[in-house]
This record gives sequence, structure tokens and C-alpha cells, in this order.
Amino acid sequence: MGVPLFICRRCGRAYPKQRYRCRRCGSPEFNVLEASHGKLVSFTEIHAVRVGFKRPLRLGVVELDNGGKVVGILDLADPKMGDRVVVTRNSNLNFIKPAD
Amino acid sequence: MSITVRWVAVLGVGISRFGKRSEGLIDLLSESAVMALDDAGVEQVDELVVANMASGEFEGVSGVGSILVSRLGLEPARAYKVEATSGSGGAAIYVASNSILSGMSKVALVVGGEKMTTKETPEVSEVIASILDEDDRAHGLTLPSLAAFSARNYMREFGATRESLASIAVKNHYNGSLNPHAHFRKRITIEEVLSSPIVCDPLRIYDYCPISDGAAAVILADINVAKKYRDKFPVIRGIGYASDTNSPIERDFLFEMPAVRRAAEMAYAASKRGPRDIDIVELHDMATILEVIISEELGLFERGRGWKAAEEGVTSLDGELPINTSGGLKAKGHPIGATGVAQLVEVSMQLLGECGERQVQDAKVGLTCNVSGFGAGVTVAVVEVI
Repeated sequence: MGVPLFICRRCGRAYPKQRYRCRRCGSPEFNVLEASHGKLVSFTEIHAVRVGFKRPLRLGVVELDNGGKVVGILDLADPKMGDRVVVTRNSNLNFIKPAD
Repeated sequence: MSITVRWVAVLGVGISRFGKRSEGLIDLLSESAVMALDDAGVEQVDELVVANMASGEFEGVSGVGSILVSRLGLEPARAYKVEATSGSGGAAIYVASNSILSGMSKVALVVGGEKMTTKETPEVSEVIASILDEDDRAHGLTLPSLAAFSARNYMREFGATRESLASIAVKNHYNGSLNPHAHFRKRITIEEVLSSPIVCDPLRIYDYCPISDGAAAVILADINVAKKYRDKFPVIRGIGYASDTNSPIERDFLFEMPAVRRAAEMAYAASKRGPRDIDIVELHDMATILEVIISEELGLFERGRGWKAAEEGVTSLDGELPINTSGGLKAKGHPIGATGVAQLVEVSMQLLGECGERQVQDAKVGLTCNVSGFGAGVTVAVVEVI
């Protein structure tokens, strides 16, 4: 399954995180949409990890085709900026894989 | 004749050595506070604002304002803590300035500090990351990793080189070598930066600020009160504060910090000064890339041009626009709650000509920019001597 996107019912702005109000128009109502395809816009390999994480931890940022950006765990052998990717959500974590 | 401008006097400053210190938070705060009180020559204050992020997490202490007001013998001054993570110092200055401008206080002591070396790096990282969005955090995101996302994106977009970012670390270490309060006094080379261990690819350990203990303090006062103590003193001519999302990856661009832009617009408008009037800057270089991004958002350089400034020497001590003369967070250190206050201390000392070996000649207008999280809350102040 993809990642949830919260789309403001009034102005259409997309948020990857649930909010009580839309930042742009103030509306409290959102539709939830499932998104999965997008473009890799940045990535890193973390060597100084927080408590409970294994090093190195490879994370990426994906700009979803439906709007909004999400962070996810990189499941790509050789990530490049601009790569077409698919984001899946599993146990409340996003995983970034190559698009078919 | 009484002055009716909306300026706030910086009547005294105090700062002690940043680094690994044996004292606890209360003693560090007290040390700087006493220095600032002595420097100002005031015996009592109306208000004591403490800037600190995580006294509870680091030392199991809360009620820092109350503890300090007693320790310093400043009762019955109004005392409390202002917390905005790394931006606590700026936020505390903002709160105290507003107290003075409203007339509720005539003299206020702002003291910021953090005791951090009680914990190991991964635990410190955990404490600092608590400002971030819960879902982002679940993935293992850290503040340093946001800087890495930003750096990779910026370098690709604007052709910035790894060397140019390294030159910021080299510059700030050089400045730190001339600052007796700095955590790092050691000069470094570009080669050393580029061969240091990777923290978050493409950024390395020398791209980031260290974990430090330390404190800094300022006495802020009503201008007409300040004039009774001194003929000449720095004033905060204008101050701005703005917030932005705590999930920075949501931004349109990973290399922007809209709250810096907004806070700067407010500070410029209030001070009737603009980016071209600024002679010296202390800004929030938690990582080298942040010096670039923040300097652009402040309007000091065009978007996509900031990376060249350090490389070309523009932002060096003897350049046209020295940035982080204190060594910045990078070399002076970043005891979280202390940082915003320490920036005002450095700019005030520079404008008064009290910086010794790192003194910038003929600096008239200074700017400070303190950031919480990764641009979640930002204070910008424009400072000048009258």
C-alpha cells in the first residue's frame, strides 16, 4: 500500500502529515488519498544514528506525483537524484523502491 | 530629552567558555548572568528570562527560572524559562524585548545555556530530534540528516562544490581560534574537512557543530534607563520572529527556510535597515550548508550564490561581510539554549570594539539569526550602537 496524503477539501493543497487545519486556507476538512509514485529529490546515508537505529541508515525524500514530499527508507541499490520511485508503507514506515 | 523610538538597549553582556565543562547548568547560567550584571552595573532587574531547551532531559532539572532567580538573589523579579529548542535564546530575547517595549519591564536579564555533555551523542541526537514531526522521526530522521538532504539538493541545483562548504568550516574554525570562549580553538584545512568521517553523506564531522556546554547572558533595558548608566551602548533596532513547518521536507524546496525570510523582513522593516546596511552577522551554522542557506534567506546574497561567499573570502574576518566572527555554532560551539544569546553578545562586543584579535574594523550594523529545529522558528535582530 502507498502513503496517505491529506488533501484539503477547500483548496486542494496536499499534506503528507495529518493537520487540524489547512495552512493555506484554514479549512479543517481533508480527503485522504493513497499515493505511491514520485521522484527522488534527495537522499543521505546516516552514520551518526539515533538510539535504536542501525548504521548506516539510508533515507530519501520523495516528491509525490500527487503533491507533497515524504521521507522514506531507501530500498534502492544506487540512488540518483531525479530517479523515478515507488513509495510503499509498511508498519507505519515508508520504503522507497525503484519504479517498474 | 526622552527617546520614543522602539529600540531596546543592550546594557551589558556576559559569556564564559563553551566546551566540555565540569559545572552543571545552574552554575553555567549563573556565571554568565553575574558577568552581564557586573558589565551593565545594575543590581536589580525586573525580569529574568532563561533560554534553555532540555534541562529536564539532560540533568533532570525543571523550574530553571525559579532556581536561578534565587541563586542570583534577584527575587522578586519575574522569572521563567522560554523554550524553542535551538532557537530558545532568540525567543527569550524576543520576549524580553517586548516586555521592555511594552513598559512592563525597565531592565531584563536574559540568560541562555545548556548542559549537554552529560549524554552520549546518540542520546543527544534523540533529545534534539524531538522537535521533528513524529512520523519523520519514526524513520530515524535527525537534524544533521536534514542538513544533508538540503546540501545534496542545493549542490545539485546551484552547482555548489563540496570544497565551498568545507571553506565555511575552515573560516569558522579560524575565527574560533581567535575567540577565547570558543569550544574549538584549532584551525583546520579543507583537506581535513573533506577527509573527516562522514556523519550524513555528503556532510562530514567538520561540517557540523559540536556538542557543548555553555551559557551566555545579556542585560536588556529601556533606552532612557540605559542612558543613565552609559553614554554609548548597542541597541536592538528591530527584531522579528516567524515560524514554519516542523516537517522541513514538506517545503517546496529543501534548500529554503521561509521563516528566516519572514523574520528578516520584520527585523529590517522595524529597524529601517536592509541587507546592504549590514556589516557583521552571527547566524545559525548548525551545519556548513546552513550558513549558505540562511545568508541567502536573509537577503545578504542572491539565491544560489551564497556558497561562493566563503570560498571567495567575502565572509572572512577581513572580507566585505564577515559572518560568524565568533566562530559560529561550528567552532564556538552550540550549547543549545545559549546560542541565540551568545550571538547578541558577539555582535554587541564587535560593535563596541571589544573583540580583540577577531575585531572587525568599522562595523556599524550587526545582525543575528537564531533558528530552532530546521527552520521551525527563527529570530532575526538588527543591532547598532547609539
